Amino acid sequence: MSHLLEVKDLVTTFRSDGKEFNAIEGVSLHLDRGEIVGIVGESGSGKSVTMLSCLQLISSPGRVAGGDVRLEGVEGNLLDHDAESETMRQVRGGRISMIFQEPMTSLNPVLTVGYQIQENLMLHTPGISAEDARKRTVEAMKMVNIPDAESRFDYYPQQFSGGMRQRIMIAMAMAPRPDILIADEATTALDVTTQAQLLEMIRTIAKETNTAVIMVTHNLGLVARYAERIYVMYGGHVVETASCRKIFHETQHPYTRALLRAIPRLDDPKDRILIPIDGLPPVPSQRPDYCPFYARCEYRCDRCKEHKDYSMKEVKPGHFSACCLTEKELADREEELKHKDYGASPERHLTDKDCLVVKDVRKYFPVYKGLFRQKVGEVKAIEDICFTLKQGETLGVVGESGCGKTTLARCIMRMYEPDEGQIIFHGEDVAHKKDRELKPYRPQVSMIFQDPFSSLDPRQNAGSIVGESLLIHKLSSDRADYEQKVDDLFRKVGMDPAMKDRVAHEFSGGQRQRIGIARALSSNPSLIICDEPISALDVSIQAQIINLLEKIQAEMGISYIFIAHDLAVVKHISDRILVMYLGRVMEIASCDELYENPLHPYTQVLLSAIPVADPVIEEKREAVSVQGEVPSILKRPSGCPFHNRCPKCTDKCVKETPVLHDAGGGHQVACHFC
Amino acid sequence: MVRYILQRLGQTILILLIVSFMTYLLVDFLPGDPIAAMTGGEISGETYDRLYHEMNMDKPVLVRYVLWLKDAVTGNFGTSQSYHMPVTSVIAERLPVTIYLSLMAFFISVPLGIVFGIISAVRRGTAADTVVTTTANVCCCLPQFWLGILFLYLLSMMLGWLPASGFVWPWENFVESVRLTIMPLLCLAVGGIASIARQTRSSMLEVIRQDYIRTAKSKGLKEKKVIYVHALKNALLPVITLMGLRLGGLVGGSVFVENVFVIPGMGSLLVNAINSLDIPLIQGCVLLIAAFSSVINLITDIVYVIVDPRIRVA
Repeated sequence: MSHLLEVKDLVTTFRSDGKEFNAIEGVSLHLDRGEIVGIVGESGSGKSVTMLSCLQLISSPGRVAGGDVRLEGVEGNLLDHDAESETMRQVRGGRISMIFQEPMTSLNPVLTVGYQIQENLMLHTPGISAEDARKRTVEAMKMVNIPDAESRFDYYPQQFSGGMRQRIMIAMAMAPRPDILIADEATTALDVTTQAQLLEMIRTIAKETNTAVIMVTHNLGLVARYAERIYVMYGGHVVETASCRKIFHETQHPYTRALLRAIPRLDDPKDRILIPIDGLPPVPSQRPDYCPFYARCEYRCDRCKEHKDYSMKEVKPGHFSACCLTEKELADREEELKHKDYGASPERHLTDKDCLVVKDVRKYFPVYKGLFRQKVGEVKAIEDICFTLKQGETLGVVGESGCGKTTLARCIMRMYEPDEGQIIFHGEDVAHKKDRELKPYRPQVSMIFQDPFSSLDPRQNAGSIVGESLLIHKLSSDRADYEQKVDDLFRKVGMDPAMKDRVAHEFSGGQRQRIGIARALSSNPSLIICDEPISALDVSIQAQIINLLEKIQAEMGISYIFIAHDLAVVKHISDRILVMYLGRVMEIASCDELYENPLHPYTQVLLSAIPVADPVIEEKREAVSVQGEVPSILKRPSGCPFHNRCPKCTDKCVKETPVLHDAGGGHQVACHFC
Repeated sequence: MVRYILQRLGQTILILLIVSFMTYLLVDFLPGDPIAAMTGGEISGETYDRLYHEMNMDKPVLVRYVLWLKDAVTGNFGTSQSYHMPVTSVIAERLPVTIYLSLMAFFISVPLGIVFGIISAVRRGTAADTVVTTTANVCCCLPQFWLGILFLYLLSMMLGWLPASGFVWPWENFVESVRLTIMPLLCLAVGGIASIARQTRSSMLEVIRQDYIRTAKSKGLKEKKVIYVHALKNALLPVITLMGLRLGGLVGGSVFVENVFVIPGMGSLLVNAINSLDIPLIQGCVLLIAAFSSVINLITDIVYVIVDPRIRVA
């Protein structure tokens, strides 16, 4: 049977430090007309390299070392054609189009979007006139729902929002009517509601035009929702492939199994423990010649090391896996693992004591303009924020970019002074205290930051990063006590104190985040604000950090404010969730209540936009669609900030801002209809 | 846009005021007696006193500056004491020569610099790149006067190929003009070619790594088109700043070259004026060079706005 695209034994090597190593080793995959295929894997697994290699877009120091890529309608192996040859250039863009991850940087800033779409179109449509090309460009822009497409032809990319730019990328990729569209993490950088809109659109367009789509992503939920067939990649190999349903329900390869156990899901019961995958993915230059997952695998046996041929075998009809263990062996081991004690979900100490009460907090930022920097307006970052947090409780804060999550965190940290409102910490209002008066407050609240790479001082060693606040707040009696305390902090976050003389770049992302946690713990705080602490980490590492945070909370009775855009993670770790939109609180409810019974239309949209890593559940879920994108905070709509996107909007919503009120059982919501 | 230009012009006037005041002060601090320098010192005490009074030397420096400024705003920059002519006509005689040389040097160095820059960026790591980069690095740090003397020694004194000094307009005697301007132009242009090539190379390399270049390649564009349509336009933005700086600096920089090759331009005029403590002439020259630099800067900024849509629409 011949396929639209068939890749066999693709090998791409990179040269570094004078040594060549394989980024991907013998990847084989195929694609048929009109189907949507997902390629999932963590960073460094080789999923993007595979796609770029097929198109010969690998740039120095990498090169495609071997393999066979066949595309229907093109004579012979694509790799035999020169990267710059006419054939290859017609394939790129004309037959196989690609959309990349970063919408902000993937379009040329000095050329108009119309030009960039039209260029692709004219390149692959022989004999098209300039007029026709312009007409078809406008059509393509309309197809991806860009309003006023005609007049926006001459706009530059920076005049569009991120979501709009990605739409333009899609218009550009689809304009020459390719047979295959590769979406390389195309929606990863976007907000969840925009992501759902775009993927829905790609699916519709693909089905209408019978275009095959390859979705490259690290998000198992996305492939569960959209892909028909899935390839799982690890360490430069495809380790498992089957239909979407089989991957999730008849999982074969130990890596896929481990991955599914490690990710939190929106429909998890509260007490589910995540089982992290120990260790780190192998660095390409140090990959073993046997199974790349061996070192982290819970199913491994001695035979694995002798098994050098790491290609996939058909274990069931249409289901391929690269694991050398038989189904019997896997099932036996699975049974053993079920009885293995991963430690129960840690015991929590929820108290009735209020840790933090936030009342009507408002923070506006002035906008200055002109020669004399006059104040011309205000950015209304957050207003009317109210919530309480008990000691030992975790409050999740979710919302899309620009909704004021970080401003709120900084107000509580008192890095900003709120313009109005009270922040009552253990019975004392700290909202308007002077810097000096805040001294006793500072050690009691600390923060864990998003980016483990830039939030650690590159020149300070790990020990002094962790110990610094011990010195600032004079929490250690002498040198020996200080060293002792730093060592304890390292152990607490699961790191060897011997590593404390190293500097930040010597650690992996997960280790850096552990150092960040140790730093936050050093002053023995009773409240920690976690600002997107795991979103920069790989999926297999995320579970380790989530578990660590839960363990620490149970041991020390700390309260968390857990800020994230990933609702599944928030739901897993939090007791209650606060939903924000454009600087206002939309809804506060306990996790299960919010998931079972979301009241606010925005919460419903948000929940529906997040895919669950289970195709069966995905099919049953009802899609709540939403129009438009999150507006800029500078243009917050009057009344209810969500009214211009809300299906239930009435005149009252436009005129009157709904107040947060109790809808019963502690479920608070700011909507006129609830 | 109009408002922006007006605003910038206002700033330029402020800059000129400051520059003129600073030069006035500096010249006042110079050792030597302007009257003695003007007359050669062989005058009676009476004449000296009369001149001293006529030139307002008896008044404080601030008052003298204000008096000078009063005349200057009406277009009267005073009379040169060494040329015995109005400053404006002395400058009008010399300025075209300098502008001619500067613009010629500019138009030679910009395209050559950009071409060399592109070649070494596109062929990064090859022999061509090494040659261009090394040469550019060496040429960047060669002082103009040293280059001038070297050329003089080699091309006129040792080989006798080119005349050593003087200036003729091309429409007076074309061949002679070309022969006379080769060496000064080389001196003026070498630094420009080198620095523009270096800047073009580094910003090209920066741009080639960008995501939108990968996008352009993924469309199946020819390598040439990717470089000349998608990369170059972005890469030239920082080069424009540099071109403005070069052009603004050329007029001031001609001081050395004009002196080495005895060219009757602004540079040699300024040196003469300082040597003879000709205060009105110094003021006029410095002010003109400052005005020239400011205007070029303004033009650079306007060009920037036109070329870079990010600034235009922001």
